[in-house]
Amino acid sequence: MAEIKLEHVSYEYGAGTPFAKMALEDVSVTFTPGVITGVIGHTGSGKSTLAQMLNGILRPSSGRVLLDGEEFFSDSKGKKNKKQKQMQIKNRFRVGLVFQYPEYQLFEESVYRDLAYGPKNMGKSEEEIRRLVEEAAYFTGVEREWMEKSPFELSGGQKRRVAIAGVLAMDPEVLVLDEPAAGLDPGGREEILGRLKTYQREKKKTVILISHSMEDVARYADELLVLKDSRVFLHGSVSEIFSDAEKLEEAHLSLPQITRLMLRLRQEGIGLPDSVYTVSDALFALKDLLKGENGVC
Amino acid sequence: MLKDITLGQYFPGNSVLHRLDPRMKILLMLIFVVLVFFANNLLSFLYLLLLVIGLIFLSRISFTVVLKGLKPILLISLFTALINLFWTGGEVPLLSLGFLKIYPEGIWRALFMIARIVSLVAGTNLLLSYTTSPMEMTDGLERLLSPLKKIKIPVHEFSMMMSLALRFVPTLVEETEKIINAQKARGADFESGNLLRRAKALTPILIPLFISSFSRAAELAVAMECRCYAGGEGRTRMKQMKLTLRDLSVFLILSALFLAIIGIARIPFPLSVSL
Repeated sequence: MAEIKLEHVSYEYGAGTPFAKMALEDVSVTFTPGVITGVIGHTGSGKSTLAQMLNGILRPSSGRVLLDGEEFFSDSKGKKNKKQKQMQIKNRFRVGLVFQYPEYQLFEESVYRDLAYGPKNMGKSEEEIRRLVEEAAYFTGVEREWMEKSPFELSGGQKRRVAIAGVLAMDPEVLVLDEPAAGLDPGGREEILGRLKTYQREKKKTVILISHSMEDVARYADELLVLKDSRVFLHGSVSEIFSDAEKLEEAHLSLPQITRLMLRLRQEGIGLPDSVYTVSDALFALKDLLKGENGVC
Repeated sequence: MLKDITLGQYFPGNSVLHRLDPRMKILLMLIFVVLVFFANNLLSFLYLLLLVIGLIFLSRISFTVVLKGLKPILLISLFTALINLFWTGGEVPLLSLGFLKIYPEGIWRALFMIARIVSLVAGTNLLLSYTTSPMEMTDGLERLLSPLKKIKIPVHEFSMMMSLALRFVPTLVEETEKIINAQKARGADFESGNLLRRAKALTPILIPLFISSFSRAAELAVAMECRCYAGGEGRTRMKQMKLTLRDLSVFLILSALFLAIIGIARIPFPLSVSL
């Protein structure tokens, strides 16, 4: 299980121009290995910048990105020799990054070949590639009959799965997903996020899930990192963070709808627990409550 | 990297040049471009630079912006200057380094060449690019070329295509950057290997780019049709272009000032170089 860590990372867009803007400021965080960490924050809080930093697409203006204690960019700024470049690409293989709306990365003539693009770049053998592609297809629900089709014949949700599978096929140790369910219908959201959760559990991966949906992170994440105005605002387990609604509001975020409903019912004097974050938990809580009432009567 | 490409770099403002009718600006630009080539001696080149400085004041655009706009031509003007420096013959060489001889005429000629290129680019930038929004520019062009409709040239369609193309340049740049990053994240390597390998490495960028451009174009066409776009026939505009007395007088004054170069170039002046 790989551990990825940021140390005093700052990033400035358009440095030196009148349009310069800080996207991340002095961010230090260690992502717990083997769990899903949800990254939430208001629009423009630096979520996507953070994602691109983890995989070396963006280089921090200052600070360090550490992968298992080793610096991602081992070279000093500007200078790059061949060996260091190779090393950087190798590190990139260890951290898979799925961008927002990743469908646009599809380009090959068949789904299989597109899924094989990443492993092929890693220099894997033909058999190894086949195994990796099949595994990625299994976890993302890419069906066998799509394999020989052109990715452009698929529907939107299917394309999304293929695009995510394209990154999973590289079998990264850390997986970073930037809004993997954006723009999908509720069924599609559940399908993709649920499959990613299964993948993470079975393979014991470190997953970083960037989202703006409180409902989604409540349901799928184990830990939460809240960003506010390009800084780390809160970091902790889901229940820790959701227990302080006022603090969340400061970051222009609110608790999941179902939690708010449950809290409201509690205020009305109904004996419900205060840590209900998902609809299914709410269902259990209500069932328990009804049973209890029956018992009393 | 890609963000450095700036096309149609318009700086909004409210100066004399900003408010001038785009048709007049296009005509002025044409006159200016032709007249730059009439300058032939020190006096006329100084006058040319004076004109450019005058335009900077008229447009109220800062010197630094204008200087930055000259960056892309730095190399070509230096190159031209060097060629002229060494290849201009004269009577008394100032310096001779083996077969290379530098004559005073060469130095002047090199300076004039730089002045010519600089004023050409700075002048057109100030008259059009910096002070005219792409919309105004294409509209102005359409109106200027509208007589060509008589001989069945689809002027409106051309200008619509042009404004759409300009509109989508930044979008396309952004899109390309996104695709490059996504493929990099999948381990694409665009920087090593020989030319053929590098060209091949571009496929994963070009194919998604083409596909998204085509689908965007199709979507745009549908959106335009939904809003009843049917070509230029009978189309009215929110901003009617009307030539005012002010526009005309600014045009006449500026073109007179530009035309004065021809006269100045005829004044015999000791430092003249036939170019």
